[in-house]
Amino acid sequence: MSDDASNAEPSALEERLVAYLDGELSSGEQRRVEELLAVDPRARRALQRLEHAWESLGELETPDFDRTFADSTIEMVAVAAGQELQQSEAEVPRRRRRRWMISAACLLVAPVVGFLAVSWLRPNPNAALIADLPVVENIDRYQCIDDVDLLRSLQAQGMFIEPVVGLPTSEADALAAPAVFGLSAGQRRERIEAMGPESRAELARRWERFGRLPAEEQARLRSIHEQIAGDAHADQLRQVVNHYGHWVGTLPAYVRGELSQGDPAERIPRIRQLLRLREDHPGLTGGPHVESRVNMTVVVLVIPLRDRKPVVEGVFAAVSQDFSPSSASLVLDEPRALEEMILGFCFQSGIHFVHAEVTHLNPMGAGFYHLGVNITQVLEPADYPELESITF
Amino acid sequence: MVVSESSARRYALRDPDVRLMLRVRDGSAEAFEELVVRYQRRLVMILRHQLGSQEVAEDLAQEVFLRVYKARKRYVAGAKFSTWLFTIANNLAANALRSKARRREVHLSPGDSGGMGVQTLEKLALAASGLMPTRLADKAEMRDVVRVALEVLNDRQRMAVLLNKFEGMSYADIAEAMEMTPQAIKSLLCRARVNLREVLEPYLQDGSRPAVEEEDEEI
Repeated sequence: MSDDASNAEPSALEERLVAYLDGELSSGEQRRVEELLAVDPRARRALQRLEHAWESLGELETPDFDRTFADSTIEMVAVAAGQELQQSEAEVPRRRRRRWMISAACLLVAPVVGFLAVSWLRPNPNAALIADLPVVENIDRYQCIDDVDLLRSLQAQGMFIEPVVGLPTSEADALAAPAVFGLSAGQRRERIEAMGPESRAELARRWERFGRLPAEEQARLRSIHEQIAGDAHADQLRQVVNHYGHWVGTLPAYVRGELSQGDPAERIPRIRQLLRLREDHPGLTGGPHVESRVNMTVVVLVIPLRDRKPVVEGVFAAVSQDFSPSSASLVLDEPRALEEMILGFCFQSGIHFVHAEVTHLNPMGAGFYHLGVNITQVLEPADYPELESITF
Repeated sequence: MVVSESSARRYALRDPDVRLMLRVRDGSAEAFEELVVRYQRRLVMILRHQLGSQEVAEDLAQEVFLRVYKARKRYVAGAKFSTWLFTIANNLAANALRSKARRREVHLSPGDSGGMGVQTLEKLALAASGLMPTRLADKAEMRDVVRVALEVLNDRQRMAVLLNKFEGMSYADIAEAMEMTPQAIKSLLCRARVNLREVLEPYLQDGSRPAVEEEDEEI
């Protein structure tokens, strides 16, 4: 553990890019950085290099956690409270002690007894699950949400308060019941104890999934929950979470990616457009009906295919320029002879893979090449075990 | 700290944890348990990566909660609860690191690296590069390299990174927790990010040994 400031001196550009990545720029500064990124490949590379190293921190392990920690902490505090009581007693003049004892007993002994009752009489082996219960129960919904401000804007405009017409009922609705919001630790424990075998099994699956998420993603989901639970319109936001999350979950990955970018004011018109499309075309599940393009610069891993199988040894990185629901433009640093491939790209909820076919490859100056692809299919990583070794 | 009534009301309204802490102030054991349960994992995680030891992190996290309890009667809602909690945690972690540094001064002979820092990173990265020369790094190795890269940062950079990355705290909130200015945090985080990139990039690109210069013993 070093105590000396190390080391590389950041440039002015790096300072702006870091503040941009952290969302700490004013809207004017943010726009100027985005304008620069749009025209300056060096700035884009600098941004990606910073981002890539930063994302690596998500690999840090979540420490093993002793689940008796909460119990022993509370016991320790109970002991301290008892000592506090004894010390206070010794300091009080004898003639006032009797009267003081009565009030001190009320103020201090009651919490101590409460702590001991909680920690000894009701042992709590699932403290970690109890702590994260609202997040675990809503994991599917929260993973579809990029920021709570969008939910607030949707709620303010009366959108997604009611279920989206025409969507099938989610099988997960039972566990995503809003009742879990606002429950105390004790009430959560009782909720788990009251669950039937099927609900418990589903909860166990979700708990396991939550445990496998990177620590950063776990923290993001907890933060989303806390912001929603603490909002003045928490009840309506819960409905928006349920209905918006359900709806977004039915969209193709690349449309979800499009909706995860930009300010709420920019995204809501797009959401309205997609909702209208669904109303006009009830069978619509995304794809060629929605052909607007969105500029989105993300690092994309290009995995060549041979005999329909991914060749992970041949993977290389490219940068996306824009996406539409059925195509994408990539920037390469050298020409590559490819006909079809798998593209992997990272959003907050994880790595996504799509199958793509090349439509064109053109030089674009400065030694870079523009690769156009048609996206033909969103892939399930489980169908391609080779993709498990792909990391960003 | 002087806190206006309107600020206190605002924090109480917005932050459910502030409301819990106000209940703790009024003697609610259940609210205290709720806070412990909500924050234990997050707190231990931050302290674990700041101090490099799970055991020390758990001990210190308990100390943080104990201080929260002891300070309950003086509590005023002057910030988000998490900011207040991590202010206490940061101060205790800084004290622990200073004590650790003093112990090293006494016990270590010159040239002894003490088990952490650049030499460890180099050894680890060297071992990793021999095993996995491609970008498709084994997750466990990657995790180890990232962990040691984090340890190469100085203590303040590392704490700011942990609060920013894992707690999602803004520059203003980190500044409050670390008792610095937002501008200083901006500079600190920028240096930290650039340092992380410099250390990690060689490994991320081709699995090669990071180009980290030898430093004197840190303490």
